[in-house]
Amino acid sequence: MHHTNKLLQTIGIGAVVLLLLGCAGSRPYTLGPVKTFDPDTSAIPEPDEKEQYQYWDRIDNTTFHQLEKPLDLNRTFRFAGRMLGVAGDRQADNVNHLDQVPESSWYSYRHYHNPMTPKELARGPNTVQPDTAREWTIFRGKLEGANSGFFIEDANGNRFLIKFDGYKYPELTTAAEVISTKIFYGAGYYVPESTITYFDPENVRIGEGVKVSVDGETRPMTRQDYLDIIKKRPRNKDGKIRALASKFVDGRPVGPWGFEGTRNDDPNDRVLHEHRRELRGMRVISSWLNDTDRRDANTMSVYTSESYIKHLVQDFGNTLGANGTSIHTPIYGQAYLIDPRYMALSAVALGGYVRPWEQVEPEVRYPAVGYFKAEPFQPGHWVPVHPLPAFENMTLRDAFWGAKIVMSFSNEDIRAMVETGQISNPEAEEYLVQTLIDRRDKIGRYWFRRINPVAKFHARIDNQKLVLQFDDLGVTGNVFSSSSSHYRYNVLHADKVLQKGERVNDSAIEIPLQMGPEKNRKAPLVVQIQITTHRPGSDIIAKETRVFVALEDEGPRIVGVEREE
Amino acid sequence: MSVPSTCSSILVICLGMWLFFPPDVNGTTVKEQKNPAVADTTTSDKNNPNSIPYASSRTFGEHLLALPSYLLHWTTRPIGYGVKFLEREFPELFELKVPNSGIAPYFETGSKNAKIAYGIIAYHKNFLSPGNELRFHGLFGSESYNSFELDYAISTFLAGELEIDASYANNPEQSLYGGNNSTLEEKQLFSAEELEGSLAYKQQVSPILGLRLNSSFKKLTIGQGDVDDSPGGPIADRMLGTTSLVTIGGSASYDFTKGKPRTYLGPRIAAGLDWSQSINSTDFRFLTYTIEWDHFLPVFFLPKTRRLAFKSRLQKVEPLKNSGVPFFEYPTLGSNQDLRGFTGNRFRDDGSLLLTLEYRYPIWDFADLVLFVDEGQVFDSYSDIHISDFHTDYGFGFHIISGGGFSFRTEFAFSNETSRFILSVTPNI
Repeated sequence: MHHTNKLLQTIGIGAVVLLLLGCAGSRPYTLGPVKTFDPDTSAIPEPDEKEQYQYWDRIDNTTFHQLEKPLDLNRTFRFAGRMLGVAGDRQADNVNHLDQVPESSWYSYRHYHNPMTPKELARGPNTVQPDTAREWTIFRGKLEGANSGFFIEDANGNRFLIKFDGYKYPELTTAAEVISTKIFYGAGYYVPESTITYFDPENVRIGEGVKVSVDGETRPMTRQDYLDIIKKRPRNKDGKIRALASKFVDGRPVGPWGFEGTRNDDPNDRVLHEHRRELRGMRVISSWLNDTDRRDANTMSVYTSESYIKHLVQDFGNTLGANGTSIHTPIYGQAYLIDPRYMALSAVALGGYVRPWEQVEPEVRYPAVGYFKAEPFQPGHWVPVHPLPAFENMTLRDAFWGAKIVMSFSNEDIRAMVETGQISNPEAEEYLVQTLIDRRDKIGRYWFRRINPVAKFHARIDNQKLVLQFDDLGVTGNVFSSSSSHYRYNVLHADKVLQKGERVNDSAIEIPLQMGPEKNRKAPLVVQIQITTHRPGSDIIAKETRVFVALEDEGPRIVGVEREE
Repeated sequence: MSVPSTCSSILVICLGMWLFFPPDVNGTTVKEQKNPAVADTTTSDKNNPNSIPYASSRTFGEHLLALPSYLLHWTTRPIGYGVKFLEREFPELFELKVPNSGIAPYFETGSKNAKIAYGIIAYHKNFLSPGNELRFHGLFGSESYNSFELDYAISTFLAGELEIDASYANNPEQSLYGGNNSTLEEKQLFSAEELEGSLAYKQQVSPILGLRLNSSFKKLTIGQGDVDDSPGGPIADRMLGTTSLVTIGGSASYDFTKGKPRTYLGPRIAAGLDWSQSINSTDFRFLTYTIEWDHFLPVFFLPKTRRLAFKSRLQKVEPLKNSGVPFFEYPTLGSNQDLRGFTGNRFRDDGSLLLTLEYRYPIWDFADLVLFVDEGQVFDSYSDIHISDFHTDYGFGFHIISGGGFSFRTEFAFSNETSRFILSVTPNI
């Protein structure tokens, strides 16, 4: 009893300490420029290629990493603090004062920040197509049944990896790979160029000294090997074979990058990958596409000609309805390949617990789309096949970052990107477009209920008033109606409340400057505007977004954004 | 020091460290580096934040708090080196694909006959002709405890498959109990040396009907076991000696079940009859018949993967006129396949009847949990069968459902006499 009291006392003291620490915080805005670029592109010595161990990664992340988590008392105490309401989540390490991710060797400002046209999104990263008019030369072969393929060099000297669809699902894998590559590119990630190509099978020759491995034995590649690879592959009416052409990236591949830790031989790699927002928030983008096989092995680091390491996301053959050359089944996206949470529940319930995916018929309406549905999709519960530390660390703010990127793609944008998959059945293509739209909206509805979705702030002076304009992403994304949304705000300066509980029905707040701070001071004045979004009739809890505006000589400037979780 | 006291002390120390080396609870732990490790290449403005890279950092206190996780991390790294080595050198292991040929070591412990017995399994799936499988299984514990088996299966023979097997086994200590009412105190030990050759032809006549014809020659020498370890004393002299048996027989099986890889509905019936005759000085001539009926049923209000499996097996030997049956050919109960909660060959008589009810349910796509009850009895004649004479055991198990490569089964079975842990890892090679 004595020990129990002592323990409770200790925990109580700890909670108070946490509370005090929680109250302490640095200034939530900057008076200098806002960081928009993280300089991780400095020249470094050429690193060795890192080997890829895809099975160990899976074993480690599924077992040992899960055991390590509670043993990290920082994490455990934070969890306890969160339960007590005195601590927050461990936030990402590379977020600027506007709650944004600066550009870097990992991420670039694209569609959300600088809207791209549907045509630009459809083009994506592509700069060249394989030259199908002239002969291809195979310089490496891969014999793995339905997954067989080869590497070619076209007459222009460009090199491509050529992959095919599975025999049972024509167009499925190649379309998924191309469409998801475009979406990830538009989202801001670096991806390899990929395109659908139709080539004349007679226009391909095997280069000198090309070898293949069969059952562990290496031997020269024969014409018959080539014919076996292309046998039964889908063709168009001209007899040309459909394939995915993925262009070799510029620079030298130096192995995969991981979703945890940093690379020891890269001095630019300073932020732990599990605490990079663009990797944490990727979970939402991956959930949209049912990108179930996202893991270390499906990434690529490239040592560029500028002598730094660039980080690419690749291998999108397990997205949308495709699971490699086969199709996804209902469990994909709903549970890990080995998921102790569900296993324990199933064991204890003696079979009485019916797991969510057991209740869904694995209907495949269109072979070219595979199993890809919106109805069973649960944005908040989506997981890839194996746990990824960065995905596990995703906070509400990270999720919001990912969700606003997903929501930035309009229906027309989606249609333009889906068309690059060249699905021959218009109904199947339309089904895929509509499913992506429905899943996108589910993401918006889910995440924008949990955090105040106001963003894209602009401040100006108009008629002696400070006007703060913003977008309610729930309204601009058409997941909530503008007529049933209004906003309340407080205006503060140096902890002094200047306006309180004001209400506006549209996304513009006007603050009379005479109510604001005095002029002619050395440092610019910073006002804080606390905005909550209200949607009467819904069960959404209004959370606050704090926007800091500096009144500078050149005009007002947004210098800080804080979001309540 | 008591455990709660130790725990609270650790908590106090940890919280103290948090206080002393506070992490930023609400914000990030990023420190903007004043002197970046590498010169900036994007801007010359030193005050521009774009020239200052982000970096993750942890305070000394945070490292201390993470120490338990670090310890686990570094102690598990050698496992990682091993897995990486296997992944690099033997990638097919991770794909659960069994190569076309190979040699695998194995060993057996816990036997009274040898502290440890070493063995190998060697196989070739395309020996002499594609699809024909040669398999060798050898276990060596000592000069008096060993076994060797050589099998060759010709996948296409007439309209079916032909299996040729030869085996030799030497075991100095096997148990012999009595009939259905025997006690553990009646246990006797005997030694057995067995040489056997067999030939079997199998044909799947239709999707539901399979036929099997078999013949075998067996030479078995029974000797006295360790009398000091035999509470029931030495076995009778008439049971000792060498017997050479020739057996021919056949069986048919009807499979109306549904569901793959999880069978959830329908019956499976098999019936077999063997005729055996001794060809040395002993006078053994007898018939052995076996009837098995398994039935599967889904639990009606749940998905089909939750199912009941009812299994029954009746086995009986019938001596032909003026002859007998060697004791080692009597049906027995007590193995990891029938009365699982009893010791091996616990009950032995002219006939045996086994009833098993299993409830199988999935805990994952590839794994089932199984709850089971076994009921069994041996008997001299059918009139001896009584409800009250059934021996009961019960237990639970974990099965991995594998489409190919290997099968894994582990079960815990309990009875009023003993308990048994069953672990079966069988490469499908």
